[in-house]
Amino acid sequence: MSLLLKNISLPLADFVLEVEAEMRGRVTVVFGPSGAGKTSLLDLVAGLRRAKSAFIQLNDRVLTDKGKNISVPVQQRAIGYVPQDLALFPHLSVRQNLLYGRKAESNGEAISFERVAGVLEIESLVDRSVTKLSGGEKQRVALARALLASPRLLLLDEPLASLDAPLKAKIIPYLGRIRDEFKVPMIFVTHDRAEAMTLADEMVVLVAGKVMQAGRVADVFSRPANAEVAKYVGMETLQPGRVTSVNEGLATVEAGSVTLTAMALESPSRDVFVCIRGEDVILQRETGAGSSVRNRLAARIVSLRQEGALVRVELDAGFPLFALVTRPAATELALREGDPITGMIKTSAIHLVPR
Amino acid sequence: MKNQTLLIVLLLAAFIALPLRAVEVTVFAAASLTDSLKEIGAAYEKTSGDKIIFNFGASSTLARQIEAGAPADIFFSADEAKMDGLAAKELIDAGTRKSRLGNALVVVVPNDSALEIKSAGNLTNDSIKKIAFADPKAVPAGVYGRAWLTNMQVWAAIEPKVIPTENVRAALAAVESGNVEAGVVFKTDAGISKKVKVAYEVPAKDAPKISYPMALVKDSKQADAAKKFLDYLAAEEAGQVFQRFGFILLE
Amino acid sequence: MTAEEWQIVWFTAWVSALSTLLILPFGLALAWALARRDWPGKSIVETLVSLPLVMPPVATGLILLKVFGRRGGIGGFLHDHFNFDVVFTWRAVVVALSVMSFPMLVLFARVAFEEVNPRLEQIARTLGASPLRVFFTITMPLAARGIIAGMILAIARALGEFGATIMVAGNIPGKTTTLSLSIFQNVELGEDSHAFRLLGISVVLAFVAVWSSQFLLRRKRKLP
Repeated sequence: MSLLLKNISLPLADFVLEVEAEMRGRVTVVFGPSGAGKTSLLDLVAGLRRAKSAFIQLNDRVLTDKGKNISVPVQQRAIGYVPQDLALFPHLSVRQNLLYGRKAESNGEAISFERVAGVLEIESLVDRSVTKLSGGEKQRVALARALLASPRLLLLDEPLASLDAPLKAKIIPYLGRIRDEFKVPMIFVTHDRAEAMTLADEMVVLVAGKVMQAGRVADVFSRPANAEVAKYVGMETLQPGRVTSVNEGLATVEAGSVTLTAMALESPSRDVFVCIRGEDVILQRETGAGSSVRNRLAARIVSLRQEGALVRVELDAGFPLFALVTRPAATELALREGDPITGMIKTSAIHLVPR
Repeated sequence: MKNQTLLIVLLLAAFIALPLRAVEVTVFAAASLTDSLKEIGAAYEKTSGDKIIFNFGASSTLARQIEAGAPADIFFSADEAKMDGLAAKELIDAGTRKSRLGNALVVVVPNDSALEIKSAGNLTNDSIKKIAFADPKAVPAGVYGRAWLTNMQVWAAIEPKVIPTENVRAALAAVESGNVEAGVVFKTDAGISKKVKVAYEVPAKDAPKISYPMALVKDSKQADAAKKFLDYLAAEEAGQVFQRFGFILLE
Repeated sequence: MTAEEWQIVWFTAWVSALSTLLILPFGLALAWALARRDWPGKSIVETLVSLPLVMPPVATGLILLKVFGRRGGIGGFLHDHFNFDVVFTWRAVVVALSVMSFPMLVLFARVAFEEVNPRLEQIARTLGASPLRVFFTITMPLAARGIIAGMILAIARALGEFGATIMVAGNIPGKTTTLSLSIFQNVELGEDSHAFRLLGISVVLAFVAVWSSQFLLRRKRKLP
C-alpha cells in the first residue's frame, strides 16, 4: 500500500501541522509526544478534518486535493478508524456495532464475520450490550468493527494508551494478527517506544506538527536525525559537544570536561549533540583489566531513582550522564549517592547528532 | 433649635397635605366613552384642580373588577344590566345613579369595502364571512347588537359568523384591520375612526333601548370629589361635548 | 363537565398536538444546525428563536396578527389568491401555538444533540454511513430522550398559550376557544365554578406533561 501526503498545512492551537510523507509499510507508526498533531493527522487522512492545503493519495486514488477542490467524502474512503476512546455505539448491541459498516452486497473481498470474530476472540461477546464489556473486550470489538467494514487502510489512535501493562501485552498480539492474517495496512499513533518497536515496520516522528524523521523503525531509533528525535526515541543523555578531530571513521568529541570517542558522522559537523542511551552505559566499581570499551569515565553518583525493574542512575562524569541498570545489579554493586564509579560506553553506543 | 424643629414640622405637614389637596378621582367607564370622557376630564381638571384617572374597558370587565374590589370611585356603564348587577350587590350608591346618555348602533365596514348593507337581513349574505361584535354574551355593545338581530329574526343565521372581541373598540379595530368584512359598533365609535365607514345605521325602532348609567361606587375614598365630578358629567357643558361626539341625550 | 367543556378540552388537545408535530421537522433541523454547525450570524438566529420565549405573548400575537391578517404579508397572499383566511380561525390558533412553543422544542433538542458525542457520528461515517444514515441511526436514537422531553414541554406550552392566541384567533365559541381562553372568559362572566373545573383540567395536563419530561430527562442521565 502507499499513502502519499503532500502539502499538508493545518493550523492548530499552538503550531501549524505541516507534513510531507509517503508511508509504504504494512504497519507505520506515527510517533511523537502528546499534542504533536498526531490525531489531527489521522483525522485528515480519514477525511474528518479539512486542512488549509492538502494532497492525500491512497494507492492510486486521490482522496484529497485542496488545490483542485477534490475531497472524497468520509464514507467513501474505506479507511477504518479506531479512535482513542473507541467510540462504540452505546445504544446498539455488540453484533449491531460489528455489522454497522457491513455493506449489503458482500463481494468476495469482504472479510468474513466468523473469521474476524474468531481471530479477535469475540464470539462469546456478540450478543452482549456494549456497555457491559471490559476494557480489553471493548478494544477488540472496536478493532473488529473497523475490520468488518473492509477498509483499505486502518487508522488507530493510541490503541494501547488506556490499557494497563498486562492488558497491553494481551492486545499487541491481536494487532499483530490483523497485520498478518487480514493483511490490512495499519497506521497507528503512539508515544510509547515499546509499542512502536514491537509492531511497526516504518516510523514517522512528528513533533509540534513537523515531521522530524521518517524511515524504518530500527534506523530511526538507532540513528536519530536530530536532538529532538533523540529525546523522543529515548536517549537519556543529551549533551552538547564539539568534534575536535576525525580519524578513520572515528570522531573525537569534547563534551563538558571530557573527551569521548564516537562514530563519525557522514557529513562532518563541528558542533554536535552527544546522545547516549541509558541502557548502553555500563557501571563498574574498579577500573578492571583491559576491555574493548574506548570510553571509560571516572564519575560520581549524583542520584538514584527506581523505575520499575530498573534503576536510573544520574552520574557526574564531567557532564551529566545517565545510566539504566537492573535492580539486582544496583544492589550487587551497592550503589549509593556520592559514591565514585566508572561509567563505560562503547564507541558505537555514542550517537552524534549535528547541532 | 426650636426654629429648626418648627421648620421640619411645617415641611412634613406640607408634604402630607399636598396630596390631600390634589384629589384623584378614578372613573371606570365603558370603552365607547373613551374620547368624549377624556376631553371632559381634561376640561374638569383645569377648573377644579382635581385629577381624573380613567380606566376604559368593556363594562362587563369593569363591573367584575369592581366586584373584586378594584379602587373605582365612579362607574359609567354602557348598559343598565351591569349597573343593576352592582346595585344588587350594594356596591353602588343608588342615590347618585343617573342615566342621561343614549347611543345608536351601526354596522361599519372598512373604508375600501364595496359592500352594501340595507337591512339586518343583508348580513346573512355569503359575501360577509366574518362580523366583529363586542362579546355578545357580556359586553353591552355586543348584547345590544344581539338583541337587535334577534329582534329581526336573523341572529341564528348570523351567529356562526360572529367574531367576539374584548370590547367595542376592539371590534372597531378588527374592522379597521380588514380582517373582518363588517362589525357592529356604536355610532359614536364609528365617528372616531377614519379607517371605517358606516354602511348601515340601525333604526331606533329596531334597536333595543341603549342607555348609559353612571353612579358613585359605595367604597369610594373620595366620595365628595367624585360626587362633584358626577354633577359635572350631568351638567350642560359635558352634555354639549357628548352631543358633539354623537351621543344622544336622553332628557 | 358539560359537552361544551369537553369540546374545549378536546380542541385544545388536538391543536396543541398538531402544532407540535408541525414544528418538529424544522425545529429538529434547526436544533441540529445550532448544535453542530457554526456560521456568521448564528447568534442572531439563536436570539430570534428565543424571542417568543421572552417577549410578552401578546406582543408576539400582535406581530402574528399583522403578518397573517388579511392585509399582511402572508395572510394577504393567502386571502387574495386562495380566499383562505388564517386570523380568527382555528388555523390561527395552530400558528400561535406553533410560534410560542417553537423555542422550547429547539432549546431542548439542541441540548440533546450537543450531548451526543460527535466522535460517534464521525466513526459511523468512517464505517461507510452517509450523513443522513448517521443522523437517523446514531444521532437521533441517542438524542431521542432529550428530544421527546422537548416535545412534551412544547405541547405543554401550547396547551397553556393565551396571549398570542387571543390576539390572532380571538375567542370564538366552538371555533377557537382553548382551555386558557375559556377560563379567562368564564372568570369575566362570573362563572367561577365553570372556570375552576377547566382550571383543574389545565393543572392535571400541565402536571402530567412536566412530570413525564422530567422522568425522561432523569433516565437519560443515568445511562453510562
